[in-house]
Amino acid sequence: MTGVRCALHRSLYRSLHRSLYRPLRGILALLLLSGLSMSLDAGLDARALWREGRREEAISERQRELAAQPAEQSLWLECARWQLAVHRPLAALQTLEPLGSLADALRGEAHYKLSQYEQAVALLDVSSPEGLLQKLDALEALMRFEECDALMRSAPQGLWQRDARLWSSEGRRRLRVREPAEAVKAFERALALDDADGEALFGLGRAQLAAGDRAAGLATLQRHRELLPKLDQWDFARRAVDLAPRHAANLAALADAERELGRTERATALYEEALACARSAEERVPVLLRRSRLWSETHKDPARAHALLIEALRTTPDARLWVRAGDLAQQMDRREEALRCLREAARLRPDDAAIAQRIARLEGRQ
Amino acid sequence: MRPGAVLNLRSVSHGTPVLQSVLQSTLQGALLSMLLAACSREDAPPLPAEASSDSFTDITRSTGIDFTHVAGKTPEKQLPETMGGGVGLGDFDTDGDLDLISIQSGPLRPSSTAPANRLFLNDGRAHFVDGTESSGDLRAPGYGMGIAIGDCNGDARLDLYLTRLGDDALLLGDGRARFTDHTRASGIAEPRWTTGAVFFDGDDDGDLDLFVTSYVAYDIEKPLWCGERREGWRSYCHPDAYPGLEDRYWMNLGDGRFVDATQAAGFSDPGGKGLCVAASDLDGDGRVDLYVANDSTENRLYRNLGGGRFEDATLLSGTGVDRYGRTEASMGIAIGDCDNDLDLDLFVTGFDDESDTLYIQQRDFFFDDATHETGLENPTRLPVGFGCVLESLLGGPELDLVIANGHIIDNIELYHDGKTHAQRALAFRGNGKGRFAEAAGGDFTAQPFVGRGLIRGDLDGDHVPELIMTQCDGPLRVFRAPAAGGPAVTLRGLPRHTRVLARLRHSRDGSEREILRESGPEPSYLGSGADELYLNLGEWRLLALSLDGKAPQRFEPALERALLEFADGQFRVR
Repeated sequence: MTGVRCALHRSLYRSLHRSLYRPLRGILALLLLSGLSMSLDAGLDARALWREGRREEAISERQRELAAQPAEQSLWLECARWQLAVHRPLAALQTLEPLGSLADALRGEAHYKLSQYEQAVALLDVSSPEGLLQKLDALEALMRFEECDALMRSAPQGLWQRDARLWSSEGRRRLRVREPAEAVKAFERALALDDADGEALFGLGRAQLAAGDRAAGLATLQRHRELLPKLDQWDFARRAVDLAPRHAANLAALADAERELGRTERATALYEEALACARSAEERVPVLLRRSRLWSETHKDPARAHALLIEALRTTPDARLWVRAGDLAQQMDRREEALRCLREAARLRPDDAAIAQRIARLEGRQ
Repeated sequence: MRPGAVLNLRSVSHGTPVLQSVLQSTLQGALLSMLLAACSREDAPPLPAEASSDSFTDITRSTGIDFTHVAGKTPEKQLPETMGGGVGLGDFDTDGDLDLISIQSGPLRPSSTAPANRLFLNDGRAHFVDGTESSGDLRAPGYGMGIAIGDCNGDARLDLYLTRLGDDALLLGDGRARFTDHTRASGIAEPRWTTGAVFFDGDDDGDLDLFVTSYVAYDIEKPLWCGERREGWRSYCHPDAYPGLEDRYWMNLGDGRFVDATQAAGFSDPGGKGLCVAASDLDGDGRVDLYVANDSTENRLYRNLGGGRFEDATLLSGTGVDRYGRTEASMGIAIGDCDNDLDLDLFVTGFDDESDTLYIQQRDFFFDDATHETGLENPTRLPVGFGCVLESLLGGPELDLVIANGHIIDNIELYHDGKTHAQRALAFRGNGKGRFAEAAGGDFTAQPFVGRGLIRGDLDGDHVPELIMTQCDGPLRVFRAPAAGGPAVTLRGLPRHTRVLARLRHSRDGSEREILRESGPEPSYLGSGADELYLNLGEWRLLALSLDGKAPQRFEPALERALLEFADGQFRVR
């Protein structure tokens, strides 16, 4: 019924477009140019809100701007993209309704998010990695396996070389057609790209079992089981970031999860992003402590961890940071430096017994 | 107004203030509102309850069952409020028909005015009277979750185990619909948040042991804040925010006492967040295995080794995670032979964006996640599935599938405009070859419910089970199946978790086939379905029955409609 209504809507819209728009074309061209520049200026405000993580405000602002200056197509697309990012696929579809085929990829994504896979597969843009993977997933869910296989074969070589998910899809396809040995190879290729890929690890274990290698299969599945809590932690953190992407604590939690999975580059970048988003010392300090742990424990570089803390202390004086800096200095056998740091901590927290105890130990009084 | 609604009318690629003004003036009034509503999901009318062979009929009113679950919702959005309550069927007054117990939750903190669990007594024709007043300790207060039903003391009367947020209760039945609290005397002490439970003979000694799933460590005095910090946006927390709890296996000593034998028996799932447990002889070796559905942690499949010992067979079985190797928010369980290859398959409901999962057994304890291949992936991805039943409900002996859906977050639409708290239930027609096609469903699927428990049992004695669905913070519903009144046979009195092989002959072409069923009761989600087997025959007739691989008992002439009572090793037509 809804589909019928939408069709009616489109038909009415086209009819009005023909009868009203064409005679006005000349005037419109001029107005469009002026409208375009105005909307671009206005668009910056909405984008600034978006960048600050005030996503709903950004969308409202963009809608207000578009209501006043509806000429710029790219802004409508951006509005729909934002709506999709905040889980408003129905609103995005409404926003996209008057647009032509240019909006098909986003429509496809909206339908995909609504599990409307029949509509999604007709619209998704397979030239983007996400679009391709979504279409593969949707085709699988629709049991259109042959189309799924053909699409996979047509995926660009570059994507195969960098995206483990594609290899996992191939592995599952091989398992489906009872080619476990080939499935093993595909999952191994996925793991070569990302050794913490749970999907590939589980697939590999299943493929090894299917290929008759019970011992290897069980060992791989045991590795997967051990990885699962970390993957769950990562997934939980990812969802929190998805809901509030500019919240420092969420970003730091995701960084922690990435670190647990051994993805240190991503973790490093996320801690930096978290620090950039922290709006107060109370938000900043826990992130700084965790970043220092990344450098000292994961990168095995206590000097860098210490230097980063000292740098941060210039703008964020905090006893916890001085204590960590002191501990790191002690770890590097820099006793005087350690004492200096701990005394700074004690100056900020004169009644803290734990700090006093550390100082006493270093001074040889204990 | 929904973001973007007004913008629908404005040309984007060609729009200007001039055109906008022309369009708006032309379309104002009725047309405007019609177009604005055009793509709105909220405004879509409910699907009509079509009268077809796929249509379930809501018979709640005629049954006289007037139970409404109370979640005791608070502004703090306490997680237990999302769970709903279970429902159980059994002959509690020993008059030969199925009575019903519905579990109440009610305010989180004890209150003398809290609504109680309810007992409804059946007259055998699906007309019930309220038996709560004289049901004894069934009425005792407590924030209820689930129910397990079984004769745990061997007196041929049904007893109850009630899981709760707080102290669980073991109630002994007197066979006259009255229950007495036996918890302290039994040795069971379970103050944690428990959910699913099942009575089963875990150590082959002839009495019923008990397995109870525990959810998470939760303190109602220290509710976390989840969701956005603005008016109306506070939300329920994900279970990942709380530590999981180990499940417990209580071994029946045969004298009314139970002991915690969890570790000794080989069960281990530290940190698991159990919501449901199903007992079944999944590998057909005559011993009852267990499958535990965990919320966001790996599910567990325990193989019964005999002598009260179990081993974790999850890894080899492939049933701990989905095909992507991801844990799922597993809620309810249904077990049945979906592809008619004479072994049992596992169906597990899950959260939104992750689909429910059907594990098809390929060989001894090796399962494949076949959700895609069976046609269940797409329709089950968006809803949040809870109770589920695999049963022949739409005509013929093939197993059909029904699922109760409903989101846990009652303001989910604020966070995702394509999701709703109340959701339509799903009905699927099985083709007996492991494929399911969505069925119209009639009243069962016509309107959204906040579905939780879903069990089946023949309430009116026509050998075709009705469906009973509980809602979270809403009224219980009873549905009559489309196949009601057709050829069907009820098997009663079977030992628990017994595999039954039924030989059928086609009434017209004379061809023969076998189907596998297993006696219950099935838990679904927090519940306990009827401890009876129903063979919905359609165009087939029952030729013979064989239990656990023993010599078959033949029926001459072949049966079309009958109640078969199993006693002293054989079936008797009643």
